[in-house]
Amino acid sequence: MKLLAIDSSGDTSSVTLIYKDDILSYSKDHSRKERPNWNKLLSSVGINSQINISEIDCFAFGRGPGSYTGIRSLASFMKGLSWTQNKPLIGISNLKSIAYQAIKQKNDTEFSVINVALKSDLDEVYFCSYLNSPLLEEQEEEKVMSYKELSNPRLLSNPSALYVGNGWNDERIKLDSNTSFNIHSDALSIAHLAKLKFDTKENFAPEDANPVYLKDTNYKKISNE
Amino acid sequence: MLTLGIETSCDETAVAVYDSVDGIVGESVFSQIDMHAEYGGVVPELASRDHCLKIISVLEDALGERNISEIDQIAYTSGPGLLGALLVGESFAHGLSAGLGIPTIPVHHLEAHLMAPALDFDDIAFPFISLLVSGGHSLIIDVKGLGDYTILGESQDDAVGEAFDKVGKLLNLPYPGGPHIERVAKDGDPKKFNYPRPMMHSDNLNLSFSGLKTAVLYSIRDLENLDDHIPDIAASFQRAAIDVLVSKIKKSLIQTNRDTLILAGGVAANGLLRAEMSKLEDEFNIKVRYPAMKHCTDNAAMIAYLGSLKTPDASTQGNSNARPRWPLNEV
Repeated sequence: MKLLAIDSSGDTSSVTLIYKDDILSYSKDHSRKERPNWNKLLSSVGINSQINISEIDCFAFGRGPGSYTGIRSLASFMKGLSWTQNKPLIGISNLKSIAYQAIKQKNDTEFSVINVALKSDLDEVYFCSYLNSPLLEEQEEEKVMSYKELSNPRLLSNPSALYVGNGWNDERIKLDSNTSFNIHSDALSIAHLAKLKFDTKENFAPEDANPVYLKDTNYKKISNE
Repeated sequence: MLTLGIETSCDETAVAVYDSVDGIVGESVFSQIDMHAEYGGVVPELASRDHCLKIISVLEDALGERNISEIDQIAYTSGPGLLGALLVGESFAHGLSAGLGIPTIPVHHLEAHLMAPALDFDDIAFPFISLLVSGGHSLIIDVKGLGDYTILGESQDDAVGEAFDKVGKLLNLPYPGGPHIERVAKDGDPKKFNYPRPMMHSDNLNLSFSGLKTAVLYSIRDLENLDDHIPDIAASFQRAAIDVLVSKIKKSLIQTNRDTLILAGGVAANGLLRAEMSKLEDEFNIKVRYPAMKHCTDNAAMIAYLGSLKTPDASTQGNSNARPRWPLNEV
């Protein structure tokens, strides 16, 4: 099984190649407005030097939520790349990527729930709650929340919950530092999660792998003016 | 040599294949006009999202039975245009390039418009005057050769197509306003409203359409029943705008002594503009050419064609070169 995953949803771009039993990863920090050089990302894990792109069985990417431009550019790049190879393209939630890493880092079963919050604009966060299980089932659909909703004591007082993502780093949120920490999504976790999906033998056509924004635009339609 | 062209600079998702021997051998365009019409104009974020959704199906349509492995290089619009929209086409081009192991060529959107007439005519030779008129641009350009352009005049405010769209909105016509203004103007009297011809008598070749649009706004404000006057307002506005363009083009022909005039951009589809410019053939003993309608508006055929005239640059491969603002004289 050879899988190539890329994430570029925020201010870091990362790439992971799962090549049989080996895993190669590379990441690069950059400003949100800076765009990665795609060729350098691919060559950083040996694509076109040690391994030909045609050997890849499956492609994966962080499909959002996150920087609109970042996830859309990445989705467009991965669509083009995977389409030329006639291979599956799997979009993985960036929130789930964070939850996956949290479980791996904590490495215990003390927590039953992982609450992920990522800062968005307009004083809002992207939020999702996952069960601590191998497949990280969502407790409810990903959504946008205001800080007023996020600071709800009922949400913050769950002793069996982990709170991860930069959305919790706000003075309005009072959390125990032992249960909250900041992680950003990365290609390695996206690769692992994509591999689980790939093993289900579902059809993952590149044209169906699209960014997930969670927010609609605020422009007014003429009929609503 | 087969060049794939990708265009996503605004509200058209387009892909084309140009064969250096046979010309355009495949092209497809998906227009987002219906989606943006609900908002009265192009919504950049929606445009970007839709490009990303449609790009593969448009590519497949343009390729037809042809296999992607036959493509030798990929040209894409890297500016000017809406940044988010440009990035979709650019990133997709880089993805195809990485998968196929072939080079990409970033292309200037306006330069592609300037070269587009060669897709439809084989009697065009440098130098020539190009009038590039669209919703985003109003330019009079002396085209002396590939990469050798002198902007003789340009709009100091609204593009002429933008003025058509805005006046269309004032008249409660659907978006985009240009075709609808032309349609209703056919039943109107172009002399009914005496609108100004901004900058028509200035010494230079620059243009201005903001004042004309404002004059329309003021004339509407004084009317009791707008609906009764829409054809006359549309006809009078259209006449004023085109009078300015014709006057400036005449000056440019006198100034440069060129013997060919090319019209490009979406406004070049306007029937009155075409008729008035055609009259210059006899008056100035010149050739006047309009690309096919599908090559006047945004399209990928012109991107593929311009790409075929250029050599891939190793320093741009895999890099983002998208430039929302990119003056033509910096090509």
